[in-house]
Amino acid sequence: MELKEKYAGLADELAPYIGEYAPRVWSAYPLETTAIHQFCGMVEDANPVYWRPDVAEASRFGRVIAPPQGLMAFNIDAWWLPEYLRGDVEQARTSTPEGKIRAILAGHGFTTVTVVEREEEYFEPFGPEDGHMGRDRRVTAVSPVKQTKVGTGVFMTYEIEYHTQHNERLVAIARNVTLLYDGTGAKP
Amino acid sequence: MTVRPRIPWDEVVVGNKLEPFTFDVTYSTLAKDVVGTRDLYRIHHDPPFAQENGAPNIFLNTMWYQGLIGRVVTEWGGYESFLRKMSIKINSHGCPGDTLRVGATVVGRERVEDRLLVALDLTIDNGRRADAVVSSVKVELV
Repeated sequence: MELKEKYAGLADELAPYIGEYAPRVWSAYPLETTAIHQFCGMVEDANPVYWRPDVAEASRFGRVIAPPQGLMAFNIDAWWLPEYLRGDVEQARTSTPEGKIRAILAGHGFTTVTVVEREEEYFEPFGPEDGHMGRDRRVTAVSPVKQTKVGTGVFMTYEIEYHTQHNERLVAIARNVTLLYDGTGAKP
Repeated sequence: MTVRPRIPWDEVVVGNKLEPFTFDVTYSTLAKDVVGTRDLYRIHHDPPFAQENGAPNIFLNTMWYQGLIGRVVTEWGGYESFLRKMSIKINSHGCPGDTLRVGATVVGRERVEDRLLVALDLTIDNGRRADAVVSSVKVELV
């Protein structure tokens, strides 16, 4: 049976959730100089607008800023939570439109995920005075089922808009393409 | 190293290549990756787990490369420069023992309203694949 026939109803099943935003999720931690310095130290980035208040304040930015390319790192979820908080997090994740899409795809065996491409656009500098970062996330497209080198699966595109807690500024957007597949082909 | 404040946009020439840059990846690099990005996915710090999942060893995550690319671009553009856009695609893992060679070329220069933008294409060669990482960046100069 051809893929088109086998997965004929999938697009209709996914349609109600495409383009729907999840409730805003806040970063686990406020953006602080410690996180900025650890990110920069990781790749030995000596840019003084991340390190030296005197230089940063005299620069066009007027304050210490975060490297915008650290956007994803500054928004990584907590890597451990007390058990009494884990249920809420999992519940929040699975009840979103994206969670529903992933559950539908998992029902077809597409459970292995790999990032294909990521693009970030930075609208404004952000930094330690901006508090936590809020993420508004939505799936914008899911491709028809395709046969890839690593197995059968779909390409899912999602967007994340990043807002500062203070002043609610939209500072960046990320577009991600991921492949969700069944792992029946060669390993990536 | 000292990062210069700025490079004049008028003096940027399309086709110019940035100074080649190398970075040796060690197990310590991978440990710093975990600290710098708080990414505790085992594939980046647990060698048997990485190998069970088809990788030759633990490997650098996307966020580490974003950090390195941002560093290379703003060291060139100066600390008054600001990244406006970055796309990144990973084609091959960067593992302990690898020497990464970063190449960057100016591919465009444009003024959009009051912004002075320069586009660069970057590749990272990990010794096994010349385009282990490919990235396109737009940086705003002053």
